Amino acid sequence: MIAMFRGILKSQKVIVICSLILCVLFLMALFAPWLAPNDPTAVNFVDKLQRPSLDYPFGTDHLGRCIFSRILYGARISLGYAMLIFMSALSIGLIIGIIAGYIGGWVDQLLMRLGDGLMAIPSLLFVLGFVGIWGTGLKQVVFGLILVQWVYYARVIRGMVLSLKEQNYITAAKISGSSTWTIMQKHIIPNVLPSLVVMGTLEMGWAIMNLSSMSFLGLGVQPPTPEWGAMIHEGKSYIRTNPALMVYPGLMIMLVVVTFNLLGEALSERYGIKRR
Amino acid sequence: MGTYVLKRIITIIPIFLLATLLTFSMIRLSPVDPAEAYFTAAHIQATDEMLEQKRNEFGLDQPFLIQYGNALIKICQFDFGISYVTNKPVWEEITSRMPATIQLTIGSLLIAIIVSVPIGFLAGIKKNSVIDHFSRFLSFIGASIPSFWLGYLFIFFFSVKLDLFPVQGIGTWKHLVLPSITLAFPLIALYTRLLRASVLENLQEPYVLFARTRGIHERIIMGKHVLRIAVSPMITGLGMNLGNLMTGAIIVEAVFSWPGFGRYFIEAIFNRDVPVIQGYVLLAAGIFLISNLIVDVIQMYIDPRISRKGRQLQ
Repeated sequence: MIAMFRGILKSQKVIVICSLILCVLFLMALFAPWLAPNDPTAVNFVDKLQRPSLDYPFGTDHLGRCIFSRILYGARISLGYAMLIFMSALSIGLIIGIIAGYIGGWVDQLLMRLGDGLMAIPSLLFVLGFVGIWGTGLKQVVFGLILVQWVYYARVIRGMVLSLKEQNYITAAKISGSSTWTIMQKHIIPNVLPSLVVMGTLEMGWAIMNLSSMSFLGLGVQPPTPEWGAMIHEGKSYIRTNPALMVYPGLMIMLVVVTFNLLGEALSERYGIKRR
Repeated sequence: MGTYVLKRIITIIPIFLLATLLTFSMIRLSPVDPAEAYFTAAHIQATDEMLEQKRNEFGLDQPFLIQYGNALIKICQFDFGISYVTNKPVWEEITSRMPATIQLTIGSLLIAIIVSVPIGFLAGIKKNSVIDHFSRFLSFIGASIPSFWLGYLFIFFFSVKLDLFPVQGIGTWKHLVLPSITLAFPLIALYTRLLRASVLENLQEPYVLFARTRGIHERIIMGKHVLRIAVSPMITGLGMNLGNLMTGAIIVEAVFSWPGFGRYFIEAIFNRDVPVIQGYVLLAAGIFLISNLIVDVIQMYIDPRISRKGRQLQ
């Protein structure tokens, strides 16, 4: 048992370590209300800008709020919304990609040209424009990020469906009378899913980074909600006296994004899936 | 060669039209009434008559396609409308702020190329050496570090602690150093990685073996043949990444109070200055598409196999 575990650890060291780190982070986010020593939004001017202590493991910010608790609660927002963006973009991309690839013809043309038009605009700039017109706020940012992200999934899936469609077993399934829906469910979706998971792992890092960039610019999560990008935005005025205010949230963003990128890289190498 | 370029230009036009249609629909589908947005941005308390008059002026009573057509004709003449806030033409606002942004972008591109070419190239030639590990470390960190945070770290160490560079603003070359390095960081990561992979791939090519068997000095093979072909994916990366560079500049300009277009764009977002937002998004799309075209043409000069492939396809 232990030997087997050692074997896995040795051959897939990066995958195991990254997955462990991510598990810990997800658990931290999930159990933030129990783990956090203080209320993340409780203002306490008496204890403002404290150094790290037993009560406040990372110290306090300019409003006397516990930085450690805010980081924990921030993980909920970053990881939670990144998951939401990933899942939504994936679902939309999966549906549109399968429709385009399977039906083909003018439907395919229409959907793919729509994608071309979207991809002609640099994606983050599109999100900024979207937020500018539809209004600032977390909802709009998340929606905008989904809107630019589904295209990539749809393209990859469409390509895979096109090549799968030519396989003999799909023809066999058709001849034996399986409905289109059964073929999708039983043969096509299980075949495209592994590559999508790899793509998604890399995408999670992208989503977390961009979500926090938007909050940093003041367009996404609004204070006092604890979010890493918004924390850096609030902490930047104290850079001369208390750099800790922005160092911790920045480190967290970096840790999460590095882990997702490393994991995605290792997975794509392991399963021979090409990155886009 | 000529036909290839022409073909590429022709494929760009419908894509650009689609991008304009998407942007235009995004604005028209939004719950915001442009006339109301105009008066809010201009801080004017509008009466119903004023709103009605403004709606007529914007042509909002006309059918969607006619509105779109009119907007398109204006866009082709570089007329993006008039800013709601400053009442100046958007094109004028953009061009007056562009030099600062271009300065920043070129600075960071230069830094990125100067740093990543030697590192990526050496990492590719000497796989698993110290420099190779360093390059991989660099490309992971560079791709994962949030640029706004990196900018503040630089400010903290180099401006506050060491007092080497000014904190914010524009002026001497010293002002340019920190923002361009910040903006260059993700590019360094990407280019190093692309060049390394491309060098490794090229070393497997028969032409390297052929050159070696002919007894050509290793240094000449690497410097003259491999490097020349290996930079090709890097140039594609450059074109693909120009969009990221433009958005990256928005964030870096916000951090360093760089008076370029990015900062103005953020202000426009907060004010819901619709013509400015639309103008910049479309301009970015145009620049992005044209730069990709230029990149393709440059690549064809560097690697003649590409146009040959194109000709074979024809």
